[in-house]
Amino acid sequence: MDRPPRQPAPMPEGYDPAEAGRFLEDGPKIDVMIPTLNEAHHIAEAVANAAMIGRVHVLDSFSTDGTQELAREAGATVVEHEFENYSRQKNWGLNNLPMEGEWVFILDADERVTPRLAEELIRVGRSGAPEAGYFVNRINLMMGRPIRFGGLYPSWNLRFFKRGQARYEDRKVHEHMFCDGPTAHLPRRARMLHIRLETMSDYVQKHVKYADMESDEWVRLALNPDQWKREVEQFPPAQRMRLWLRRRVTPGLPFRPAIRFLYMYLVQGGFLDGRAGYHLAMLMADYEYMISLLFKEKLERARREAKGQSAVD
Amino acid sequence: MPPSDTSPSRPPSVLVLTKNEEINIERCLDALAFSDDVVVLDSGSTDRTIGLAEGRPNVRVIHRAFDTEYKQRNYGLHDIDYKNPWLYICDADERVTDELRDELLRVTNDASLDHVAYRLRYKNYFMGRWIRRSSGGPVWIIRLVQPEKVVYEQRETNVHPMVDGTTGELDGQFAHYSFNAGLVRWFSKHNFYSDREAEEAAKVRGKGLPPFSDLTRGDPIARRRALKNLSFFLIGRPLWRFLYSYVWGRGFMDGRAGFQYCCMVSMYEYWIELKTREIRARWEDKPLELGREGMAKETAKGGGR
Repeated sequence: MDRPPRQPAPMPEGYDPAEAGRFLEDGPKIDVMIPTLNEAHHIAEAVANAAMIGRVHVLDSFSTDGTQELAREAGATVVEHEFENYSRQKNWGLNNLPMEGEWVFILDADERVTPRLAEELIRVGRSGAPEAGYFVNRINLMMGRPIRFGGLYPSWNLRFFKRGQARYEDRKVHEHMFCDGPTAHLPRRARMLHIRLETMSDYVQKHVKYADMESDEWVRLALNPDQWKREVEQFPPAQRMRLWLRRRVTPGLPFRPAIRFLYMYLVQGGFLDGRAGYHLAMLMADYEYMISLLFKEKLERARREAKGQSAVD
Repeated sequence: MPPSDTSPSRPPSVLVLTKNEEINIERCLDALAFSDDVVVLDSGSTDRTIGLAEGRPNVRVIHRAFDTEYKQRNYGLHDIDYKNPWLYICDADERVTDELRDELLRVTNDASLDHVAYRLRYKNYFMGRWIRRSSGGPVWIIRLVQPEKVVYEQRETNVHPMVDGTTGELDGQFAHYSFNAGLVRWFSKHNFYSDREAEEAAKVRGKGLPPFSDLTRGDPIARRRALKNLSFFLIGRPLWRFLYSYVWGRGFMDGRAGFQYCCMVSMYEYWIELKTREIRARWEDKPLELGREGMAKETAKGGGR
């Protein structure tokens, strides 16, 4: 939708930018890393929010909207580094930002640490617990409400860990974190808020993009059945069944979009989120449907091209 | 009456609107070889479209940045000097068939006809076949005009031309290959169209229910528009749209292609419904407000489930 660009967020009233440059008095020493790209509308608020728990570092991928300047004004240290993919960017930040604390928290610019979570982090940081990393719950604020069902909540992310003891796996999207020591979950109520400002148009477009990538994977497997064996053998046997179900069985199921909708809306309780739950389940069904259609289209084109026929008209 | 000897036969000029149509442009222009004056009005292609269009003796390429559809189309009607009095308007994914070509040449040279515009139908192709029924046909659209007698309405998308004079009908149909650029392109385009349609729907719904008498007033295009405006008030519009095209419109007779097409259009209708809701319920800034509320509430003592 043609909306005017959002205005840069002002610094919250009563906030002192010096807070972002120092650790908490009598608290655990926590460094917060905020990876950014063009977040002028959010960054001052995010930095001020992160300053509640420690020193703030902004890792920017060469924003063009003045994010860097606004972050500096809000008291964060700003380092720019060229973006390659999410996991590599964040791993680079973990290795190269001037961090000095014992703990690290990773926060996105559109996420907020609630006061309750801040207290919990401080308590855990002080306690001398043996855990190297903690999973933190997160709630999505979108479609005019917090989303509590449909499989989208709770959403656990490893975000709080002892410095030097965790890193991201090398993967383009949906990257996970590895931790060197034992991990635990913080209480469910000590959560982050995820302020989702994307339009529905952005949301659909993202699904189109992911469906495009996912269907490429399906075609690759369909054209090279031998590859499947090699791929699945990389994984430990315990995971193979799950992969087999997800990548070999479900693609062939009839009525996949409808099944997905019913599962999310009824089984996972999406209906309890009211209209938003309905829309999220419908969008997920659309996503599944797009994957199926694209898979058929690409397979057909690949076969025609193999026979030397034109792919169009 | 055949064309008289004193005024030699003149083909219509042709206007083709493009942006990144390298897949389609050659076949489209091949089918327009009958005209000595084809104008490609391009809004910033970054693929090979322009290179493929240039170099044909009957083709000119003109550049204009896209602002809105009706402004782009009105520019094409009124701000370009055409060699011929008649103008045929064409999209890159359309192919003028031989029958249509012959009819275009005939009516534009028949001095006994006093229409200033013509509407015609088209054949949608999907998964290798003409999806005759599922595409909800026949839809009549105005594509052959005397440019100075026509202006496009100011609407977000799917703009219709307003004609100062009478409009005739052509028997010939053009072929429409809207899926050549791939389904990803179709999804992206319809995501974009549904933004516009939702804005339109939100406006219509904001004004309240229009009178049902609009359904019986005016030409077929006006009646279609009235039906559309009323349909914005339906509950479960995507499902109704599916039943309308698949069952009532007998889309099931087009086989698998028909089923898939009806589902896709239903998905598009759903996107319109979703985005209309987004506008009317003002989802835009709610997450920010909720975030601030949450920060105030979710302290050690209260809040959060």
